[in-house]
Amino acid sequence: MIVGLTSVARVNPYATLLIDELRRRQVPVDFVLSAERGHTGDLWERWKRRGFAGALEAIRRRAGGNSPGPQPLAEAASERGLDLSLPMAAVCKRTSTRLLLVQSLASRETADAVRARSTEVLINAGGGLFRRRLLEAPSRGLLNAHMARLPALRGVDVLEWSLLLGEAPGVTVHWIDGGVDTGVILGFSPLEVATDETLESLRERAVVLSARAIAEQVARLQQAEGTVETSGSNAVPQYFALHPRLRQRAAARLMENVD
Amino acid sequence: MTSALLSRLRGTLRIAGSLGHWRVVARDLLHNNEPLLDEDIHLRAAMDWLARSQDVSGCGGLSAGYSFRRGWLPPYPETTGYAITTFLRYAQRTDDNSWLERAVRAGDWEIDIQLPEGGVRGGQGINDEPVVFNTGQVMLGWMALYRATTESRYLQAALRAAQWLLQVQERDGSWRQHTYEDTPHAYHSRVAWPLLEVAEASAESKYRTAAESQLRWVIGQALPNGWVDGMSFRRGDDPYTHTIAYTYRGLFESGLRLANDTGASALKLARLGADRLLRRYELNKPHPHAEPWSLAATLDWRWQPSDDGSSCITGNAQIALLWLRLAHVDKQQPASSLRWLNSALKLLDQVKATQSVGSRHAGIRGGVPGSNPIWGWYLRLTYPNWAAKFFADALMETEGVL
Repeated sequence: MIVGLTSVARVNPYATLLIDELRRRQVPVDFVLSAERGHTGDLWERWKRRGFAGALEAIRRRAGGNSPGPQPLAEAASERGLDLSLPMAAVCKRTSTRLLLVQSLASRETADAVRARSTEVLINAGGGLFRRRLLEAPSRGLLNAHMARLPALRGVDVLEWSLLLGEAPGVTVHWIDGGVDTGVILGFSPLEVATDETLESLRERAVVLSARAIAEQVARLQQAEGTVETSGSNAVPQYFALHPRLRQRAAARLMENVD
Repeated sequence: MTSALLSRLRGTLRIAGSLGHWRVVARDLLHNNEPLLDEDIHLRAAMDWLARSQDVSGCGGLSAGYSFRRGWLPPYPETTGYAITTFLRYAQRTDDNSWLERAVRAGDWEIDIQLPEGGVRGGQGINDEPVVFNTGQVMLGWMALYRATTESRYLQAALRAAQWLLQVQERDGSWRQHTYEDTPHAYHSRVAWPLLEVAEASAESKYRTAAESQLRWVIGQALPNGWVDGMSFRRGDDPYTHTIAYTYRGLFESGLRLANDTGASALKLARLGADRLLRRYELNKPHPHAEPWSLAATLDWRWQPSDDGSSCITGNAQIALLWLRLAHVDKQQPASSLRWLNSALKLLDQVKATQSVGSRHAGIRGGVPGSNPIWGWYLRLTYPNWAAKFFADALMETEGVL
């Protein structure tokens, strides 16, 4: 089975973990489709939106250190002997994976490149909203790990929304269709909440779980094992990026649960 | 001709003559937003600005606002009326009676200038022509004062106004006379709301009947996508978010006060409109995790921006307030309530980012501009009192929801 990943970050710990999880299940990744956007691009975007103060905030955020609490990503990397700080180019070199640098994941040329490689499954390891032409390029489709239960919690920041709404946190693997998190669902994996958990560490734990859950589903597809598919739905509302005050509330909710 | 030129020249000199003006223009040119501070600081600054707008008029009414061209504007009966509710709420919040006194001064001034037939004078300053919408807005203030003080003069003034509204209402429930441009407007849903308050306080069913008739007319203007025709000041123009918010808020507050089919339809339409606004706002951003761009100043019937060169900050504060009201009413359903709250907080941050709390200029400090950038079409180079009022209302409503 020919499998590819999408990526937009120069350093992409999730893609690095995914490649490793898939290799452990004898599913080699054929290529990484990378449309890297540099730090300058991020700064320009902030400047346009929030002016000078916004750009400064982006620089401060970038310079910020790790938060206290568990560090599941670092632990997962150490268990597997992975260096998650490596750029995708180096990761691809180490794992004999082709790195296809593209201008944009939305372009026709990118979709053509995916089709030309007879790709069966493309996995979302970064890229935001995808154009239909890319969704239709791999023969089986584009897979995503969504950090909450679907179809109930569509949208972004859904891990935090799960906490706010008292829903069990977890990861849903689903095919991406033209809607927002409305594609066919392959499965849900619950996420355990550790003691001393913070929002950051829970998100990291969800990243580790996402890589595992998606690799399991791809392995199943490769072995032609039956998958349990559930329809997605756009009948439920979409959740949007959280305001910092509600993020704080989600963090407080997490502390209450841990206590 | 010469006097017009001189007046223009004076206006230009006034704009150019203040460092405070230049600072705001430079800030907006550079997209250098004001810092987001503690909620209390923003609220206090807005309230102090509203108090100044009352003090400069010297009559109890609130100056319509501060204009870079014309300085402090004449008192505005319409918006003085609904600012009363803001003073009262702040008085309750701070337990400071001076705000209650301000509300009383404003309410008494409104009674002093109420027209003999019961209507409220249109426009800024003291004009002879009554206007339907303005009458409804002042009634909201009088009714709030009546509830706060139990002084019957406020109820009597509201009843005279309500009686006049009934006299000039059309058979189909709309108002065509004594309206802006002599056309019916969907934002008259905000006139149905005070009529329902008067009906409840007076136990007179004719006011309820008139309000329901108006609501049915507004609901009749709705398209399947939740858009309501006739939300703009002028027929054929795309409405500002300011009058869009007026329309849905009127439907919402009226719907809450009516336990029948008309009320249910009004609420349903208000929710649909509020949700379309939320999606318009939240989906307009460079990527899903980014903060949304500002809402466009005007929208068309497909909910598409038709003037995205500027944002109507007044309308943004009102829309945030509408979402907060929904969050409040939906409090028992966290999935819905928190979704409204989340978007309202983000939109309010964008309003805060236009409020200069530290300016030394009395017309600017704590005020909220009509538009962002300040030279946008909606009330160009002006800080209207109703922008500060709705902003303060929204900040106080936030406390009730969080």
